[in-house]
Amino acid sequence: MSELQVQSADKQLVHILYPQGFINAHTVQDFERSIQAAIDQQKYRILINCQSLSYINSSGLGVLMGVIEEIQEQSGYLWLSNMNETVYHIFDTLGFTHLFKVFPSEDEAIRASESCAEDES
Amino acid sequence: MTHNHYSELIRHVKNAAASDRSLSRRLSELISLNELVTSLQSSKRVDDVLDIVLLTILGEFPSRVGAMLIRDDGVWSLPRSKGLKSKPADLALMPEDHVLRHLERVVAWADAPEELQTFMTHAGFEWVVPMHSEHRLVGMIALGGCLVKADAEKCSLLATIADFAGIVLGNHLYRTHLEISNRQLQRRIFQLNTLYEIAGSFARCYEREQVYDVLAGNLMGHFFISRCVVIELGEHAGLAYVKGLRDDGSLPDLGTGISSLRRLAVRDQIDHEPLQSYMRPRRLKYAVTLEFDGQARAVVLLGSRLDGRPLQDEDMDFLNSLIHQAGTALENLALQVELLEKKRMEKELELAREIQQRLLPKVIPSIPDYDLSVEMRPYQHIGGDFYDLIPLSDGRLAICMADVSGKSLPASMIMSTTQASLRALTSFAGLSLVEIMQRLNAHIFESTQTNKYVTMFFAILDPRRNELSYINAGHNRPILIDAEGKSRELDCGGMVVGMFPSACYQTETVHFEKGADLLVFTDGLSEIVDESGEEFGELRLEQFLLQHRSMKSADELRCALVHRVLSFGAQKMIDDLTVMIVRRRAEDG
Repeated sequence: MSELQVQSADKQLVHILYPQGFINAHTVQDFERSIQAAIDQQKYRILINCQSLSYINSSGLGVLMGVIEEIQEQSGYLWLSNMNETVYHIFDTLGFTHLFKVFPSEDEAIRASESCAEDES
Repeated sequence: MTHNHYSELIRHVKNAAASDRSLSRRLSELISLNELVTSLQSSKRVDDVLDIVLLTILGEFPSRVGAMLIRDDGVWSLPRSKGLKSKPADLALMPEDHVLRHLERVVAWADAPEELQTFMTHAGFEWVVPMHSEHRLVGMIALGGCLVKADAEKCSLLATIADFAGIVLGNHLYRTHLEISNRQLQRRIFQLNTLYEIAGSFARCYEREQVYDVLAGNLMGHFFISRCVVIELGEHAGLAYVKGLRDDGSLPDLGTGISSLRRLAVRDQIDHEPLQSYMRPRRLKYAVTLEFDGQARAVVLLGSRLDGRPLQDEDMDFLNSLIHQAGTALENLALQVELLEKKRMEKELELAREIQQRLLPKVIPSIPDYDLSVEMRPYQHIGGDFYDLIPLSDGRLAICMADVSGKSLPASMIMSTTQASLRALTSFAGLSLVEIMQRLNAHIFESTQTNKYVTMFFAILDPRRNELSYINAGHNRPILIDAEGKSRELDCGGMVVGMFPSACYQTETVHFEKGADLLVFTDGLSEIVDESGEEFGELRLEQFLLQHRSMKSADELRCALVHRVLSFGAQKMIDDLTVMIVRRRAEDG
């Protein structure tokens, strides 16, 4: 079994990715492919549920940086939720928590996306 | 004692002494101090501490203007104030440290040092109360427009409040510093881990693009950068990598001049107009070159940070280290390519050598009454020597030894051609030795470059007549030693093979006596030198043969000779070494 598996699901308007395992030098390209796949399908409202994510390194964060502009251009967003302490710590250490919206739970993120959609309409 | 018990006690005392105004006032001060300490202990944020202290003071010492000044890392700030809004205190007027060092616990305007008075006057303060933590000035409570008279008791209360506040404030400031250092430390640790991890990632790259991917991913993730472009310079010049922006594929001619941006440069500071014009519309802000062998190999362009901060000095160590590692990774890749090329060449040479070895006769033909022994030692992987022994249908034996000019693969090709031609020519019955040689010469001349040639000794041994006919085409002269120990050199023949298209050859036939030894060799044997640079030479070869005539077999003689010569040259060969001994047995078998 590989060090990283990424499942995905669409809930309401949000495309949710569930990375499971480690995003490191060996797996970062798999992670990039799964985000790129969402973008290729023009799913620009992306939530990464980090429930089962054990670790992410800076090149993993680099993947997020590499797609953020395109997502924002398409009026989408890239949100994060359910971070465990280790992962939150990594995001926080680098200051990512100031740049990316982080939700405690997937439900809260989905509710936030609904109110976003209402604001738009 | 808990807070409740304490309050209870104070309430009792208060009731009992209600008639005494002074006592009552002191009690109320005590209560307010008690509340202050309790709230300070439970407040988590510096702002809360400041609020509580300020409100307590204003309660005890009603004033129109109240301010909490904080001194952190030698810098003054005014985070909390009441009544100051329209007229902010000018912190630039705050006096130097030495002025503030020996202030009273409570300082009235009239008693303040002159510099402090200036500040107080400007802000409208009548009183300042310094706050200390571990003898360090951490702030000041400042009051103005006081509505009550400040007597000694009030001053003492103010000083006590300032003492408490100073300790709590000091702790808060200390904790804040600790948190900041802790954060910096964690960032450093993360950077170190990242560097360690990246070193591994770079080591696994086998293409340049992967190096750029690792570099870009980590730089972007670490510094919130969303755009990265790598342009290669030099032999692979061109757009090599794009991430985070749409690539229109267009690349201006950057020409020369991006010789070195070893340190990260901001776009506007880059002294290279084409590069600037490329970067500007693509919102690329920084440039740095990847180098090895003192040469810039690629230029990495980065967008600005999404969090709006510029890249700072503290980021540079990490960034430079990454850039350096990427340069090293590129160098390793280049070396690897070179190494692979070298390995491929070696493999080819190995193959050529195998072919060459296969062309040599596998078994030495058995000729009645004659004893043959031959050995070839290649100098490098493949060389230009070869020999052949071709039994002819009439019982005679064709003997050939040759040395192709040059080395390696080209020499080996000529050698193969020569040998194949010779085999073909000797298979035609009825061709004389001279005819064979002339045809071979013409063929080699046509199929090689003009400066390539072959020296060759070619002979046919007739074991029935015990005669050896030979042509020596510019080859080392073989030595024939007869039964009486008389020696002669076989030097009849003509020019080297393949050099002159119409070369003429002469042949000679010599009698092969019983017990005679013939030594055929290449210059790799005779020209071996000792430490002083002296050649072994033909004379020593001849002497050796004369001295070792009693040796039982050609094999034995050949081994002893090679051993002798290599010992002379301290085992250092100078070229391919080929030796053949042909002996006619003394007693007919």
